[in-house]
Amino acid sequence: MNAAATAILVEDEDVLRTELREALARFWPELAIVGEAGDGIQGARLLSERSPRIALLDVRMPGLNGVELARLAAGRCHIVFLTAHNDYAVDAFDHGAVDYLLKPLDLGRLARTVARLQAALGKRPADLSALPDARSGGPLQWIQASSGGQLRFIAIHDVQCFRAEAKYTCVVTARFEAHIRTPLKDLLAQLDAARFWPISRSAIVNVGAIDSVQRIDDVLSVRLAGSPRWLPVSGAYQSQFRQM
Amino acid sequence: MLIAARVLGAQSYAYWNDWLTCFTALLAAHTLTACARILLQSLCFDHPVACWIALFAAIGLCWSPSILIAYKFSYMGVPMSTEFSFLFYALLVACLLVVPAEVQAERARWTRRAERLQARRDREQRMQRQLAEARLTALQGQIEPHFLYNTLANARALIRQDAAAAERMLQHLIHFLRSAMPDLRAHSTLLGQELDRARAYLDIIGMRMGERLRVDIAASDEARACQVPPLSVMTLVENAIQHGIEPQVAGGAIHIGAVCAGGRLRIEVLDDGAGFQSELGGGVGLVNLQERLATQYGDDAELRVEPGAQGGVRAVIELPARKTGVDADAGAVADAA
Repeated sequence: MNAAATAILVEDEDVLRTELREALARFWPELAIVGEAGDGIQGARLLSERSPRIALLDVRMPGLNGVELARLAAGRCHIVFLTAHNDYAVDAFDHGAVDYLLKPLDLGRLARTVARLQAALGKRPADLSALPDARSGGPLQWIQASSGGQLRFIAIHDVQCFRAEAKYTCVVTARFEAHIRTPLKDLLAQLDAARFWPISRSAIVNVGAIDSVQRIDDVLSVRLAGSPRWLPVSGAYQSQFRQM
Repeated sequence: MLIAARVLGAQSYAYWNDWLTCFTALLAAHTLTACARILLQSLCFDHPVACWIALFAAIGLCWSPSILIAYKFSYMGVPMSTEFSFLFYALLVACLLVVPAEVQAERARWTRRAERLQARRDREQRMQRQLAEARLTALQGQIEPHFLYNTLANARALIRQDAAAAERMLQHLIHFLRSAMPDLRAHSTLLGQELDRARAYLDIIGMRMGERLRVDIAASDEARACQVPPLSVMTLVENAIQHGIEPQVAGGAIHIGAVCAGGRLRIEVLDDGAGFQSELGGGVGLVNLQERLATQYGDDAELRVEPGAQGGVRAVIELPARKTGVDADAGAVADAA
């Protein structure tokens, strides 16, 4: 095995890439930078062509982002993330990234990263292929849906209920109905569970929009504000209404 | 039917007279009670104890005279026609029935009132919370850490690599922060100020992205003098950069346009970037902006976000064109200071 330390730098801002290259040359002169890229796609090519032992990857990049690149590398090299935000660092560490560097670059911190990398070189690189996406925010906030040939932008708290239809999911608000392609199951995973409750396999309701709940002969149904229709709650989903 | 008619017809005139007198007396007493209650309670200014006293006063005032009169007639030994003794007992029984019924009704009235008040208080609280949240997010948006750190990282790196560029970048940053700071608490700002802020932001992003970003801002002087909610344009511009142009290897162009026509202001932010990658979004910026528009303008303002004609995203804000007001003057003074 080739013992020489090789690395690639993938960072979309030239100025920051130059700074990092110069700083690395000072702290670790033996490290050979075998390639640099300004976007994720170039970075992916470097990964396969140069087979570096270390990859320093910016998290937010055009083309492929740093997380997608790290998944591509899948255990072939040691990963260090560069980011202006440390909220992603914990996830990255859990999955075996050697370190992360915060921007603006702290030289003392870089020295520690170099030491860690040198220690890690003797070991097998961790496989980061299961690393989750850097989340862009909290739970779902808005939906882009089409209604009567027009695209509408709907804030999530304006939605009264989601209903599964043949090919689409129907988004019901107090004023209109619209359609999206995302299936109910995927939607449920992204919704705030305290606010949106599934009532059957084909409907999710906004708890805040429920006007009344009734039980007739053990059949539970809910009615939404401003709607005359009673929506049945199927057996498996009834327990959440017990406190109401 | 026939039998019923015969039974009824068999009763004497006096019998029906008794019933009629009794019915009229009861109706009169009851109506008078209701009137007296409303009259007395309206004087009580919604004080619960006073309202209860008023209720009993009304019952006492309207029922006791008739009962007393009826009783007196029977007591004084005035030739007791059946109708008087009948009226007396009827009034007494009715009064005993009326009191609990009125008490029950009064209690129900208070519950309903409390519910209405609670609903109104809830609504007000919700509005207040929304406003506070919007302000907080606006505040956070103003100093988006990712943007600030990245810009500082660039400026510091540039000091070694290109000192003149570092100075330019810091100048842009100062300009951006200064234009962002004065109206953290203001309800509205001038579109001109918003556009200057967007320009400063785009200048910084432009230095970082280099050739990849092209910017075009076009707004009439009339439009620039109109009031808009703070950070309304910035929210759209940040979205266009972060989700539209930055993810593209080739970068892209952003166009900001504003026109004033027929008493309406129309602001458009157009990019040719990545466009909507998904029907679902997690960012709070747009939702927040929509809420702020609704709080301030109701149905008079609209935010539309749709796919652009040449890819990318087209975001449009339409709102009433309001020229300088108190807030705007304060903003201008703060800017000058």
